[in-house]
Amino acid sequence: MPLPNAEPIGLPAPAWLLQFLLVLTFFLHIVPMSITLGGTVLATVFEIRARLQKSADFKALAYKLWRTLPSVTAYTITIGVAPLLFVQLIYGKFFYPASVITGWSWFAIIPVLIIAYYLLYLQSLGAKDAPWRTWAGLVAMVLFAGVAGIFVSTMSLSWEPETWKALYAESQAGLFFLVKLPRWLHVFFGATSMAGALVMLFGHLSKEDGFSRLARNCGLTWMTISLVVQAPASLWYLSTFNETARAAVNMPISIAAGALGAVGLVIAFLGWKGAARPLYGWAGLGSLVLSTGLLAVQRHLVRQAILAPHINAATDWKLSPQWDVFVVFALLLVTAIGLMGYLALRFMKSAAANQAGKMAESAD
Amino acid sequence: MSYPLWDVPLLGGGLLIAIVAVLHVFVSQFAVGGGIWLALASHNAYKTNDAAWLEYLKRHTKFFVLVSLVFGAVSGVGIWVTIGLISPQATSILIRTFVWGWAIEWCFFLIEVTAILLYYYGWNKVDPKTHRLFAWVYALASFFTLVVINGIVAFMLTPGQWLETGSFWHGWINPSYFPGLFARTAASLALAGLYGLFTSVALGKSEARERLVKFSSKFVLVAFAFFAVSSLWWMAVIPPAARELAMGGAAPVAIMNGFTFIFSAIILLGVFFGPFRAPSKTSITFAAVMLVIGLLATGGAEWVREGVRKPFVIYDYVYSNGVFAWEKPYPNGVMDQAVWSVYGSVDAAPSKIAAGQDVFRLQCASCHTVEGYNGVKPLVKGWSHDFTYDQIGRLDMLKGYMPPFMGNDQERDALATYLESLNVKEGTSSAAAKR
Repeated sequence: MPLPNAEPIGLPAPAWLLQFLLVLTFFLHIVPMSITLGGTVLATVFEIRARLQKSADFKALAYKLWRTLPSVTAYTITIGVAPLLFVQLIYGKFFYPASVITGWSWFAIIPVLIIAYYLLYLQSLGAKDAPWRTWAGLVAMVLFAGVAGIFVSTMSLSWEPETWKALYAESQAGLFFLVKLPRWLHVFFGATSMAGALVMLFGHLSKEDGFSRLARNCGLTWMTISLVVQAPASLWYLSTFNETARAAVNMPISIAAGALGAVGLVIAFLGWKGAARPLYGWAGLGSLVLSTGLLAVQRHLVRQAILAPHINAATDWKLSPQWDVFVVFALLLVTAIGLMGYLALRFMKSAAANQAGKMAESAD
Repeated sequence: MSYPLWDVPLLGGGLLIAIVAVLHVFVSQFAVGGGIWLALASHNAYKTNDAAWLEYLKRHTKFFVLVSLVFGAVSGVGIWVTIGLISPQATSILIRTFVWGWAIEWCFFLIEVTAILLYYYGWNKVDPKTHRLFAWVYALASFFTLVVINGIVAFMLTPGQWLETGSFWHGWINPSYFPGLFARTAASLALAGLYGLFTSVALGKSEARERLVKFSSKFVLVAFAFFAVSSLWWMAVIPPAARELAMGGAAPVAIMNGFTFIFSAIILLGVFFGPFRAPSKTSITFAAVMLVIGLLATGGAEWVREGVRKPFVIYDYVYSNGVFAWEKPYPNGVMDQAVWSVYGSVDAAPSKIAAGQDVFRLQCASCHTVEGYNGVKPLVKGWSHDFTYDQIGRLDMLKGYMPPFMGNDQERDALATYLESLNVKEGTSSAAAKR
């Protein structure tokens, strides 16, 4: 098995800390990532329905999503830098060969992502009734789904070092793309369920009755369909695991993740009819976010179990700590979070005061 | 010799990195300088309650977000993806050394994204003081991303004391850190000024536009004064062998160095005698040409910085082909040593040419393609087997920007056979084919 030699430089922190940061930042990345992917799917479907049914409410719902998605994507990409960094640090000997073998498709995420991201801005800034909206939505949807497919392909290959030699001997030009349908379906329907929960939240936060009801209806429908399809897709994915991976699946975590998904669905049902209640919206979305967090932990446990036989901790994970720099990072992270919160608060306060001033002016 | 090589036909890995890096550096430096430009312009506009500037800045912000937040951010990830594909060994070393530096930069990214989005959505929604605060926070966060990443980029050419101590701080604050930081800050401000000149056309023929043109041209002129000084400083601190390459040791690098100087001079003189002296006469065509020359100058400067580092990816530490500087030629051969050799040894290969191709891939293909960019085929045209064999054994002595050959005699012979075969027309018999 062509496993890279141990690096001459040790890890700058213990492996457990780096793994913790990897899982944490991966979780923080996949939440907005799911909203970007799932949200693009839902917005496109709403756009089509608005066109076919000539429905202003569907149009408004699609537009609300299109307006939200560019900012969510900005955080998806920015937060995503961190897990990409940590995975290369801890699992570099698996990550780099897999990325080289899938070279062109792995490289393609950049142009594909740029085009898809610009299409989101086109939807967000373009004319509401432009005839190209449906097509632009469809293209963005396909591109984001493709990016998810590429990530699934390369990351899956990084867990299969036993297949590398044969693939590389066949071609060194990075032409391979692994179709991993069960894993991709697991990701895709996880994303649409999360976006459904977000649409549900839009409904609970809206003060317009027609929009609120439609958003809650659509949110519930998408959450239900997605979670119902995701369950067998996840089992299918599980069935592709080898014995080692299957043994690493932690049942309490799996059950808790499934239960949280079910709780989210129940909350969505409870808040479906009657008056809008923001708490229900937040609780529904929160349940799915927590469920995603548990699945991120589960994913890590499985990866670690699969790769452990190929890792020599004494050499691959030897320690050359940089605690002083880590402390600077930790302090800065806390400051950054505090500053971002302060800026957001300041925005809300100032915008509210401005709005109140405008209302007072119009009343005069 | 730990990682597989991604065989990129025609372009080669080096050119692919250069394309992605130049585009990203252009946009990201524009984002840094543009942040400072935006904060100062907003400050002026709000202070004087200039409705024309405010309206212009609102439109400018939209375009700024589309360029920096989308293309800048994604192409930044693109650099990661590309260097990981082309130079996994060096990338791995960089990450192990500077992961906390990148993590610190990531914190600034988070602040940067939040601030620019709030600034963008804050137009006509928040009070001027809050709005200006967002602009300044963005400008500072953006500048600090440069403060961090500059250390890592400079490290690759001048690792300095890190080579002995392995300390993060020695690696980060290395000999070319400060000249690099000044030069990049200056380039960032110049690009922002050039961009301001270009977009000022949105104001139509007006007094407000003239002021904006003057304001932007000052950015360019001040930046260039700093750029000239810091470039000379940079040239003085880089390793002598690297300086030699830039001054004529390697023709392509020296030519690009000359072009960068000429492009910079054109911008400096053009902006001084054009927009600065006669702001009302600045046309969009002129501004667009200056902006394109700015891109070419940025590209040239990056090319020189990358080029003078040859044959290393991290100077005096790891060569472009993943071989460490302290390694001696492998007695059992490079195919035996390399984890990703297709055949493992010359004897196991189906032919000597096939073995030579494998050696080429392991030793040469990180910089050379066969027929494309830096193609080896025209380079060895007319070379006999014996001459090629002799040259391979002395690459690092004959040409200072080539790493040493690490294989054994049998592999050297196979590589010479493969290289000779490249220029043999199909159907003709040749010494290589016979061998």
